[in-house]
Order: sequence, then structure tokens, then C-alpha cells
Amino acid sequence: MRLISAKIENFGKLHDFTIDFDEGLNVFLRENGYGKSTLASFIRVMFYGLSGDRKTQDEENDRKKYRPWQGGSFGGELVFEEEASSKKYRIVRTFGERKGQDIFRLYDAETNLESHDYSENIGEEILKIDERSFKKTVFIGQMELETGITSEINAKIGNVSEDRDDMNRYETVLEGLKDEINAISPHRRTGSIFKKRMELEILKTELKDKELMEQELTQSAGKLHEEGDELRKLKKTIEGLNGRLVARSQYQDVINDKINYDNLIQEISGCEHRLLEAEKRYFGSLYQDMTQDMRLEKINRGLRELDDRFRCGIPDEKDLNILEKRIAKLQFLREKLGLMKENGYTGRRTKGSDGSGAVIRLTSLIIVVAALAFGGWLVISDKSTTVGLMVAVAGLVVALILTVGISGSLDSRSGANVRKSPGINEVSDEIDHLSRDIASYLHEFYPRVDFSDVRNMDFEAFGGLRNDVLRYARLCDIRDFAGELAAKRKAKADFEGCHDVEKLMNIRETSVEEESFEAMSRSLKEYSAVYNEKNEYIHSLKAHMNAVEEKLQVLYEKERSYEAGLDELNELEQRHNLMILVRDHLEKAHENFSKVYMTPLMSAFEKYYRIFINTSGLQDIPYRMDANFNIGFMAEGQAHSTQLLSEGFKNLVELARRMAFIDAMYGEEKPFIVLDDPFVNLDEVKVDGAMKFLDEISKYHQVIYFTCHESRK
Amino acid sequence: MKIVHCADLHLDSRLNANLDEKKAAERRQELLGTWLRLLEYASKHEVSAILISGDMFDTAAVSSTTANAVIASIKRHPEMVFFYLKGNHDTDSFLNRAELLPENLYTFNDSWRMYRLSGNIVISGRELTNSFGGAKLPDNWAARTLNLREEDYNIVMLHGQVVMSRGESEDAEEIHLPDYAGRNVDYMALGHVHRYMDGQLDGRGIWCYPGCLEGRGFDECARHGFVMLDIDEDTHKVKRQLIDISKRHLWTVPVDVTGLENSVDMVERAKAELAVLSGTPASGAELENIDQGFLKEILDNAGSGRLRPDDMVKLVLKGELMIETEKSADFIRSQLRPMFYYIRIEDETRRRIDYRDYENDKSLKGEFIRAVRDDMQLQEDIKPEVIDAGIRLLLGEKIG
Repeated sequence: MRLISAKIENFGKLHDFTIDFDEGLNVFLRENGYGKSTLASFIRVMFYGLSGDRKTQDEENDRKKYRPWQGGSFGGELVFEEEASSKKYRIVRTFGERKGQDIFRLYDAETNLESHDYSENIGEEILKIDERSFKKTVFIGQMELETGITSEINAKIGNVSEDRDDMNRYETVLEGLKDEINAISPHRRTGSIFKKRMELEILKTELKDKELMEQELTQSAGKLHEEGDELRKLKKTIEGLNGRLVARSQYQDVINDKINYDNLIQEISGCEHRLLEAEKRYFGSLYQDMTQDMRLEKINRGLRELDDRFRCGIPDEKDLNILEKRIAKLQFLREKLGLMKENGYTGRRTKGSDGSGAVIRLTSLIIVVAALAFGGWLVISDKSTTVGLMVAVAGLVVALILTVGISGSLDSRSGANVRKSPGINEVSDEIDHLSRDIASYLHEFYPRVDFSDVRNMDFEAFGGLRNDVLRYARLCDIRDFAGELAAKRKAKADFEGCHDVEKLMNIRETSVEEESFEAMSRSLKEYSAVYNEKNEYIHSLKAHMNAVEEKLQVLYEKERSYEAGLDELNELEQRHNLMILVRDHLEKAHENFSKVYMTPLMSAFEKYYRIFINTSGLQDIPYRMDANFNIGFMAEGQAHSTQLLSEGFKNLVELARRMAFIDAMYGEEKPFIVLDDPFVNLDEVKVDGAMKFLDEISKYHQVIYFTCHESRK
Repeated sequence: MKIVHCADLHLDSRLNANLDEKKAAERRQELLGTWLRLLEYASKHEVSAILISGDMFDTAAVSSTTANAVIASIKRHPEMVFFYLKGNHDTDSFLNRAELLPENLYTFNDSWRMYRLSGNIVISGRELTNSFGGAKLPDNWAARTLNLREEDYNIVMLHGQVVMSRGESEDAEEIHLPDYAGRNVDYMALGHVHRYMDGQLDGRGIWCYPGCLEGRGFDECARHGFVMLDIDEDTHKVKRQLIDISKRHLWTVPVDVTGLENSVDMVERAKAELAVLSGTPASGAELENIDQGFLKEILDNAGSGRLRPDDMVKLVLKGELMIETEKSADFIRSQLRPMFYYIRIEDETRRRIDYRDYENDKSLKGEFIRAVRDDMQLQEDIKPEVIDAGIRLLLGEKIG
């Protein structure tokens, strides 16, 4: 490609500026500040448009950087010839505030007609190289060679198209990639993926228990529920049993009450009967004719009388017998005394008559006693009350007659009973003595009777004492029975007061099917034991469930880590895959890049280097280019950094390399080359070489060379 | 009479997907708390019955804490009756946790059970199975055996997926809606689907999914809550309302970052969008770049509730970025994290790579891009990722 002319309306500091270019070498001797760089940029912008619209820094933003200082139309035109087609074109561009306002026109420079051979992306279309690569190749700045060939600049040039050095970074990047791939490798024991997989494998095995445990938990829960159910049933059974037991014992109490009550009633009726019998016995046949009140009155009166009589005690059978014997003896003595006095006989008695009288009386007495005893026995033994009573009454009648008889005989004899003689006196004394004894005994029971004249007292009158004793015994019986009856009746009333008698009377008899109290107690005990057992089991079940739950909790946490681990693994694997893909493609790219550029680059480098130092093709040049297109200086079989070379040599090597890139990278359409005073560091000898170099490259390229010094012209 | 219909509470859900263990545990407690709030609400509004159409629990192995809490909560509200139909996730094992079930809890099994709630409100329910004692039941067995009286207001509880035509799956939990048409159903109280859905069953009845009580994952972003039915017992007129008592809402917020050049700009764009959703839009220039209509749609889906700091947000970065655009999900997350209870950044952006741009890039980078482009074995959708990673490395950046 050959630049023909440029016309700048306004572009940066350049204003209304026109320049023509020749073929081959164009040398512009201009002082610094003239606008060389701006001109170089203008040429680029004509082909590629303004770049860096997104960049905020003015330095990187063409639109800001080259907006006309003095205002006015922003843009210009450039005429060039495409060498391949030998067609001349005129590019006209004007720039607005935004990209959208930019205008691009392409004209056929000869016909002045608008051409559509290329679009506004004309630079890339013709040169087959993008703007950034263009920037880095065809424009060789002052500073680049001036500051010496540092490794960074080296790399920059090697990395022809980029602001940063991807070629330089290639090794580092690849190494980093390989390291990381190894670090996360699924095939190495130390690889993260390998380790993660192992870890997850282990977790997974542990998680196998999860389902089992969950099953265990749900089954336990089911069991708990069942057991709970059974426990409740048991509780009901136990409660039922308990209730029945209580009812049972209450019933027992009621039954006992009933028995007691029935007993009481029976006792009362027994008492009543006994009382009635006692009363009947007391009153004898009179009972029927008397009213209850009369009977009561009589009983009470009798009791009052006899209580009084016997207040100091009741004479017993023996005493009574003795008394009666004494009274009989007294009678006898009195009669004897009377006889003795009658006969005037002292100390003698007519034993015969006395004896026969006594025998009769004795016989009569035995009959009386026998009759009474038999009668009494008949009455008491209930054999035949009437007959008994009749016998007793007959006995009594005989006794009465006998008594009257005796007293009559006593009367008849009493006055004559005077003991004048020792016989009479003795008897008389004995009578006195006996009389006093009898009186003193009787006085106890008859306190109101006057016993002053005991000698003449008829003691036969007190024969009723025995009868009274008998009567009193009966009355006392009546009183006792009555008391007993009253007590029983009171007990009954009391009982009725605190018991529901009606219910008691209606109570059914113990049913036969009812279990026994003991049987119930026994099963209650058994059920309680089962209940406790179940309760215990439920407690252990709950404890077990809690334990399972705790274990599950741990498992859930493990599950969480497992799931998180799976995600991590997935990420790692994806990353691993990505790394491998990046690595493979980077290597491939590097291989391609080297294949396409390395060989042409090296030969081009050689070519330009020889121009500089003027050596023949027979001589080997001591430089090598590595995979990163860095030039190494060969000494004693080893590559060394060009840093070891002098500044001048470095510049030359670099320039040769740069040209080699241009040769290698631009295809059919050779670009123009803009040199911005790159030879400031060269000594004179080398400047000559540089000039030769310029001449040489001008043969193949249009060269636009700016310098500010005559010597480097 | 007021009746609450809820389902899919998924109590004891592990919530492993998004939250860390601490937050997951907290969230589990919150789910339980929302259930308790439901009961409070129901009690306050004199609700007579609570219908739970399945999946009250996430797992059969319900924790004792949760089981006991639920049982206790039911016991604590003797003024309400509870109808619990178990779903595919839970079994009735939670019931087993109680040695003694609450008296106000009624359950169902695999044949129809009916409860007359009042004079003429009848609640029927059945667990869906397609076999009985190993024998396969006819397809529409459940529907065929459902006999409801015309004069009653009939609520039917089922747990499963409604379908319009049979054979979409062999799943027993398929509810073939046409089978239930003309069967005197007034309200089909369904469970299984996690978002609110309803539809007409026939001329008389409707079906309704209340959705889950609270969203758990970002697939459950729509409005959530329970359905409150207010039935006029004489006329059978029903007022129906979805009541949202969620502690937190979940939001999926797509942010288009096309054309942005760095993470800082992306944070600003995201903040502007989140501000609009929160109802406090800043009057920044960013507003112009936001599709307001799209955000309105998100708000409508959320039941017109606003985004609150208590909520959980998934931010999805979308759009195309230049290959050199700087983007760090970590940075974006760190900037937005303090704004919400939980935020997750999902990156769905694509790097825009126009291969023509690199056609003539005579550099290693250019070669690399071309090498990836020309790799016939590599899937197209992964190519941008490989190129992005390689270029980032060549630029001296870290990737991932």
C-alpha cells in the first residue's frame, strides 16, 4: 500500500494541513512538537476510525484526544494506492460527538466517484490486520527503541497486537493452568476432585444409614403409638378393675351392714319375746286381763317396793333356808315352851304328841315344797304352764293351811311358854335368842316393821320373803329385758339414722358370677405389672427415638455437607474441564501462532539483521528466537538475553525483529511504515547501518521517517 | 362459617439448597412459626375448621420437636376442628408421635371419609391410591365412589396433581378433574402444587391449591398463604381469599446487565431494580435502563407485596457482556448482601464474542479464539466460556 496524500481539516493540533507522500523513503526533518505522532495517528484513524470510545482516559480515547483544539470540522481525507489492484482511493472521514455521528466516505481517487469496494472497516479489510495490531507494527515510536529493549518491550512486540503481553504471559498462564489442573485433578490422590470424590464416597456410605434411621424412627413412632394405645387400654382395664374392686368392697360393707341390721332386728324381736315371756311369767293368768299400762304400773310399783326391800342385797337360797329353819325351830320351841308351861313341867316335853305333830307338818311341808317345785319346773320349762301353775297354787294352798295350822298351834302355846325351871328357862332363852337373830336378819329387809317385841312376834308372816325374792328376780328380768330392748331399739334407730335402710333392704344377694375379691386383686396386680412394663418400654422407646433423632441430626448435617460437596465437586469438575479446554486450546493457539509466524519471522529477522551489520549469508548470526519470539543472543551454545548487548545493538536487533513481524504478518498488501525518530541512541557507525537499513526497507515499503536531527536524515 | 384451607407446609424441610445450616435451622423454625400464626389468625377470625390438604411435613421422619409442637398447637385450639389429609411427603407418623391424638383432629385413609361439619357443610377426603390390597383399582375409582348429597355444601380434600386427561403419568396422585364433574363438589381443597392455583370444576364447583404457606426455594416465589373460605350456610355463597402471612418472601429478580462494563455498574443497576421492587425507586439515571413493565409483572406475581429487607432474593444477571467486561459475582454479592436476609447471585450472562472481530487479530489471543472457534468437538454454548477464561488468564486475571 502506498500513501499518496493526506489532507487534515482538524485533527488534534493539526489544522488545515496537507501533506504529500512519495514512494519509498519519505524523510521529514521536523522539530519536536510538530505533530508527528498526531499525523501518524491520523493515518491510522483514516483506515480504522476513532478507537477507544469506551475508554475514559483522554490518552486512550481517540475522540477526546484528537478533538480539534481550535474547533471546526473534525476529520480529513487520505489518498492511497492499493498495490495489489493498483487502484487509488480517497478516504474521507469526519467525526462527530458520538460514533453514530461519524461519517465515512470512500471515493475512487481517479474518477472521484464514491466507491463501495470497502466499508468503513477498510483498514482491516485491506491489510487483513486489526487496528490494534496495525498500531503495534507499522508505527515504530521513538521511545520504543530509545528506552532500550527491555523484556517488556520485547514481549510487547512479540505480542504484536495487544496492549498487554499475552505471549509473555503464555508460559506463566500455561504453567498456572497445568498446576491448577493437577491440583484439582481427579486422577491424583492429592487432586481436589479426587479428594472430594473420596470424601463424598465416605459421606454417601454414611448416609446409607439415613433411610434406615428414618425408617427406624417412623417405625418406632408407629410402635410408640401402638404401645400408647395398649397402654391406654391397659389403663382403662386397670381403672375398671380398680373401680370394681372398690365397688366390691363397698358392697361388702353394705352386706355387712345389712347383716348387722338384720341381726339387730332379730335381737329386738328376741328381746321383745323374752320381755313378754317374763311379763307373762310375772303376771301369770292375770296377764290377759290387764292393760299394758296397768302392767307397767304394777311392775314399776313392785320394782320400787322390792328395790327398796332388797337395796342392801338379795337373800340367797341358803340364807332363806336357814331363816325358815330358824323360824320353824322357833315355832317348835314356842310350842314346846307352851306345852311345858301347860303341863307345869319344867324341862320335859310330851315327845309323842310333839313328834307326831312334827311328822305331819314335815310331811305336809315336803308335799308343799314338792308341789311348788314341780309347778315351778312346769312353768319354767314351759311344759304346761297352766298345770304347773295349778300344782304350784295347790302347793301354796297346802303351805298356807300348814302355816295357819302352825301359827294356830303357836298361838295356843305362846302364852304358856314360860320357862321357870331350868328346862323352861333354857327354851325361853333359846327362843329369845332365835327371835333376835331372826328379827335382826329380817330388819334388813323390813326396816319399817317394828321388831321391838321380838319374843312374841309371829315370824310366820315373813314367810313371803322367799316369794318376794322370786318376784323380784322376775321383775328384774323384766327390767333388764326392757332395758336391753330399749338399747337395741336405740341401736336400730341409730343405724337407721346413718344408713339408707330402704336401699339396704333392697340390696340383691351376692351374684355367683362375680369374681372373688382376691381374683380381682390378683389380676389388678398382673395388669399393673404389664402396665409398668409397657410404660417402661415406652420410655425406652422414646429414649431410643431421641437417640435416633440425634443420630439423624448428625446425618442431616452430613447430608447437607454431601449436597454442598456435590455442588463443589460439580464446580471443580467443571473448572477442571474448563481448565483443560483452555490449556488445550492455548497450546493449540500457540502452536498455530508459532507455525504461522516463527519460521518467516526468523528468516525475516536474519535478513534485516544482515542489512544492519552487513554480513554475508554464509556467516551464522548469533541470535535465536524462542517460542515467545524473544530474541536471544547465542554465546557458547547458550541463549542469553539481549540485555547484555549494547544499547545500539539492542536497538538494531529490535528494529530487525519489528520489520520481521511486519513481513510475517502482512500478507499481499505491504503496509507503509512510520518511523518516529527511532535512532537517537545509535553511534555514528550504527547510524550508517540504520540508514542503509532504511534504504533497504524502502525498496519494499513506503517509509515515512520523522527525525529532528540532520545527522539522522 | 369460616374455614381455612392450607397445604404443603413442608415443616421440617431440610432447606439445604440455599441456606447454610444456621439459617436453614432458623428458617425451619420460621415455617413452624408461620403455622402458629395461621392458627392465631384463624382463631381471631373465628374460623371453625382448618383443612390441611397434605404434605404438612417434608419427611416421614418428623422431628419430635416439630411433631409435638404441631400436636400441641392443635390441642391448644379446641375451638377449631382440624382435618388432616396426608400427602406424598409425609406419612401419618407424626400422628404416631402423640400417644394420644388431639380430639379435634380428624384424619383420612384410602377410602372416602366424610365429616359433617354443621347442618349442611360436609368435608370428604381420601388418600389417593390406585390399588387396593394389591389389586389395581379402576382409573376413576375414587371419583366413582364419591357420593355427595346435592343439598349439602361439599368440600372434597385430595392431595395430588390435577390433570385434564388421563395417562399423563402412571402416578396415583393424579386427579383427573373431569371424573369429579357433576358430583356435587362445591370446593375441591387440594394440595401438592406449591403455588396458588384454582379453576372451575364444573358448573357448580371449583378446585383450588392454596400453595405452600411460605416459599422455601426460589422456585416458590409467587405469593403464598392459605385460603380463607367464608361460607354462608343458608345460601352456600362463598367468599374466598388468599391470605399471606409469610414471614419472608422469595424473589427472583432478573437484572439485565447488557452493555455494562464492570461490577460496580452492575451493582448500581441491581440496586436500582431492587429499589423499584421495594417501592422506593431512586430517581437515578439507572431507572431509564430498567424495564419497568417487567418489574411490575414480578410485583403482580408476588401479590403486589413489596420487597422487604426480611426477604430472600435471587438475583439473576442476564444479558450479553463484552469479552473484556469485568464482572465479579463475589463483589456484587458482597455489595448487596447487607440489604436482605439472604441474597444469591446467579450469573446467566453470556460473553458476546463476534468471531469476525478476531478474524485478523494476529496474536496468540487471536489464534486462541480461532482455535476454540474451529474446534468441531466443542459444543457451541461452552465456547464463549472457554474463550472468556483463556483471555482472562492471558490478561493476567484470575478466573472463576
